[in-house]
Amino acid sequence: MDEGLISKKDLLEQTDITYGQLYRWKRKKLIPDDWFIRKSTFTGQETFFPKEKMIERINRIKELKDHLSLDELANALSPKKKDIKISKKDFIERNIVSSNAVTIFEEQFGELDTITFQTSLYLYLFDKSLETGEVGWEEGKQIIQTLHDHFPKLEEKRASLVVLRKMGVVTVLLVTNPDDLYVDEKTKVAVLLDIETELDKLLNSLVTGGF
Amino acid sequence: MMTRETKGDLVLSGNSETRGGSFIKVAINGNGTINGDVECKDFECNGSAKIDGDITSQYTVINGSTNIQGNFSSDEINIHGDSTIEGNTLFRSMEIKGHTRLKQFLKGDDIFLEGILKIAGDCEVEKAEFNGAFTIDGLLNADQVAITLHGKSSVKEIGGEMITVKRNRYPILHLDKLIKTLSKELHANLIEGDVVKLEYTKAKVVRGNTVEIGPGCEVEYIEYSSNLQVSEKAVVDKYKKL
Repeated sequence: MDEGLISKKDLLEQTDITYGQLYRWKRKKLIPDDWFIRKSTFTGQETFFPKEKMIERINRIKELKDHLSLDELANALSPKKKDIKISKKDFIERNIVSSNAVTIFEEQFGELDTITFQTSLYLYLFDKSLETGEVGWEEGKQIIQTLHDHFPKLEEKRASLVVLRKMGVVTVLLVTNPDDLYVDEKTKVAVLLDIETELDKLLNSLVTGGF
Repeated sequence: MMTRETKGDLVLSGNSETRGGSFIKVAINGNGTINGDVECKDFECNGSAKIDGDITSQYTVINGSTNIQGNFSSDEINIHGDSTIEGNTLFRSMEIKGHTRLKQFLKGDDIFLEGILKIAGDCEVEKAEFNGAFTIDGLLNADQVAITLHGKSSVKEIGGEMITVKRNRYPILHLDKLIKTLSKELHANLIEGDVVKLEYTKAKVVRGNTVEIGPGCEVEYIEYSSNLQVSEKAVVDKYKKL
């Protein structure tokens, strides 16, 4: 048998939940339908789950279900809903961004307790920019400031984060429709990130992290 | 013949055809066809209606026969006649006293059946009370499932908290006229619940915490964790305590 999978029977035993709970959570979409994997066994068809993801998800549901209604839980677990809040500790432990990025962010905006989806996006974009090696920490603060000041104005528009460097000075731009972008020959495009693409990547790492 | 009584109402009487739209009340009294999506507060069909689109309403009453080609979403649905829904069906409460065919999935809070129901997809509700005969090709997933058999029924899988299947003891006259009563039994591949109480059920696998197998059951395999009772008038091939 596949080592990464767990049968329904073993799952209920290990996590100490009932059929009623499992089916209720499935109905409420707390557990994605594609985690229910059908396989033939000697007793006929049986349902298996991706073991690690499933156990982590169930522990998380059990942890949260005393404080949240099932519908609120569905929002918290669904990657489409962006009203996610993550504790700083979890955020760093799960390596979504480097701890340096969080430290710099805090220097600028004060201590973070819980991280909203918006903040996590800023952090993620900032971290990605640092990763390019083209942007220093101090310059990175300009990126965060720009996102903080102007990103909400873009609402749902498709936008890109652009960092230009000329003669050692950086300029941070938030632009919509950046399909064509031309700069003079002394200017270098240090960072060009399509925000929607990065947002999807961030959501992915949040979801696989069990948020 | 089509008349608009007050602004926002659509009343079709006689033999008529119209386009969809947004209304307060939609009533179809004769033979009506609506081409397009309909959005309204009240939807009522007393004749024969065909909707070539989606219906979104708050209250729906179908006394005649209705064919909905699209998705059907309504807080309260009452079907006293005959209906076919080609798309998905979403509701808070749904009562079927008649004959209904659903070609996709069904999702809501409460469903009450006194008649015949066919669902080609899954049925996900909080509470399901079925009196009559039904065929569900997918999963019936509900906290509470209460089935009273008046005819031959089948479901691929049932999952939930409390699942009971009984054969009717007090015939509902109009129902037993409607349904061929040759075999009042339920066929299922899999039934899983915290409490499972069955009568006249032929199942491959039954799993539960507390399992009661009553008369007329034939079950190939049972897994239970706390309690199992098997009637003398039932056949169980294998069982296992977990």
